[in-house]
Amino acid sequence: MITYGEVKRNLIASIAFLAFALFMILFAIPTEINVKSGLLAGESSSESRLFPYFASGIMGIAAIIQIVRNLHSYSVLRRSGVENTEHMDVGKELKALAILVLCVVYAILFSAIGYIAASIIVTPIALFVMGGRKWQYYVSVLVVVFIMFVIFEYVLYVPLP
Amino acid sequence: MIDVLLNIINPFNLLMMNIGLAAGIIIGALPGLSVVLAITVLLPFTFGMSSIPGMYLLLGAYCGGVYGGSITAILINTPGTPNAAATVFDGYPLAQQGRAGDALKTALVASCVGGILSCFSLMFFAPMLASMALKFGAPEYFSLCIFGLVVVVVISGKSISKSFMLAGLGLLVSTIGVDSISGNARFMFGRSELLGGVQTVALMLGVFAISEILLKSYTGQESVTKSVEFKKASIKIFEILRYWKTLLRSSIIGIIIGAIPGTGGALAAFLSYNTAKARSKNPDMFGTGIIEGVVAPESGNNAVTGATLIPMLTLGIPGDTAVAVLFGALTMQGITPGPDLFTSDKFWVYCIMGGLLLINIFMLLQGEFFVHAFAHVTKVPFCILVPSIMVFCLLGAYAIRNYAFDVMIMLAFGVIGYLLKRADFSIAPLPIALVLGQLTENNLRRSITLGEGSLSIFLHRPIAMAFLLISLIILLFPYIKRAYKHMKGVNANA
Repeated sequence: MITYGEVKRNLIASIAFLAFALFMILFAIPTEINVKSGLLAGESSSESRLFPYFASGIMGIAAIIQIVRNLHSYSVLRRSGVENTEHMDVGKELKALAILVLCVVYAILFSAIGYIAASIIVTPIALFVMGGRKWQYYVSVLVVVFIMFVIFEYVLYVPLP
Repeated sequence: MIDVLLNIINPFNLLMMNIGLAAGIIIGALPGLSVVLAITVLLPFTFGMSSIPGMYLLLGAYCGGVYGGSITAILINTPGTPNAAATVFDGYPLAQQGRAGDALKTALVASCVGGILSCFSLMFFAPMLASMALKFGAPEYFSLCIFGLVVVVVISGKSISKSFMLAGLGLLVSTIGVDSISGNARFMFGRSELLGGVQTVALMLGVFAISEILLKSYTGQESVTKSVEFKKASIKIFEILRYWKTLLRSSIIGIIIGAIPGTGGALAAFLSYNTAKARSKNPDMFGTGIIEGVVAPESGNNAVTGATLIPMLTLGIPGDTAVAVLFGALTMQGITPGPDLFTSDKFWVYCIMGGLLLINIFMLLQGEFFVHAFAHVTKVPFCILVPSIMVFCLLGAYAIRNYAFDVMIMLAFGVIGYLLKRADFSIAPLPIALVLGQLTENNLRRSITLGEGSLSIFLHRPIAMAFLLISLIILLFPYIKRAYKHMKGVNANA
């Protein structure tokens, strides 16, 4: 049986999809696809908007169906007297958020101070956040960092910052 | 033919097959990490290679990953990948009886037999299907793309409307960049990096790898408490081959399932296991730890590997997420999968088919000699994997075009993938719609041009019409089934 938490998550996701579809249809497609600027301006140029409208339409209609279904599920849950016992686990949420923040910081530092320095700073913190406490783990991750550097820089010839 | 053989046995190509296999087995054996992740993480390493060794590396990871999941299923009662979920039923009880080595060897041999038979099916059916597909025009292709998308949407997720949302998003993302027909720039938002569109590899690294580490950070990784000690195998190969009927039947099931878009190895393994149990003289023995209970799912899930390549290579339609990643890798190499490959690039196609056959043979050798080492992988703590995958992803996204922008795109899709997984979305329609997007759009627009602005052209082309009708029936089937059950219930009550 579906829970309050699932209904809530589904509803939020569906509303986000609907809002995105509406944004695309009402704003992004008319402003971001300039049909007159095409190299072969004409009929094929105006068709540039056709497929994005088609894709946004699919997304929007599916989102509306999902919203209606979730509202129905919510009313069934309320009528059946099921109580909402789900609570947010702040610890778990924070752990995922910390890893996400570390990924973003890693990407920024990568461009700013280079791959090796960014990796030496970020990867041990990520390991610590994930609960790695043995020194061998830290050595293993740094070995991976250096092996990847050698492979990308000297085998695949990717110039790393 | 000689040229094909010489190319396949080129030392560098053989090395790539084996590296791919080893990496695939290791990632597959890590609990919770999927075959798709194995291929996605290896994808950036193919950028500097030509297409054949690059594909060997990824195909090796694909086959190895499907087999690798069985190691964890047998030793710690947790499938390394969803493909190995049915292997747990008899694999783990066998290990508890002190026959872990026998179970692992059985999984290995059955996987190889399934993989090899699947490869033969690819060699036999793909050229036939490609010659048929060559007669397709734009309306037929558009209808075929719609058919592929509808099958993936209906089969892959629990909710059709949720899957449609993701398919719509994938199709929309595929339109970013320069329109190949009119030359119009679309959805640039002032960023010149988007001229070439969203890089498929960046999106896949995001939705498969970054979202996975975020999700695992959220859910935490279960500690391995039920690990069984590895014992050397005493079973001989001919003792496993005694179950040739099960091997053959399960492989055929896997091949059929694999050729259908949106299905995958897990379904093939369960169907094979249930069929073997239903046809067995001792069905009660299944689940207690018997060799046949490992033979059936393992040959079934590996038989999917070659068969999933049939729709991709012949029609340009990726059947599942793993093949969608392979599709992305091919387009990065400038190769467009589809029937034209079988006329313009026959050499390449036969190299891939021959290579796949050899990969399955190497899998048998690697498994035979290194299974003990692979078994240790199940003990690797997950906390080490998170920073390691971060490194792989960052370098992989950057290496696509040497743009930090692609790293940001990867992170954005990582967050989207994580939130979608938290809301119980099946991710499969997103990458498949992305790689099918351009093909679908171009053929829709060509069809409209052919029909002089009218969509009625689809009504005048029997094959196109048939594909669209089948798609509609597949889409409505769950509702028809529900209505039929409801009517049956009403009649019974009356």
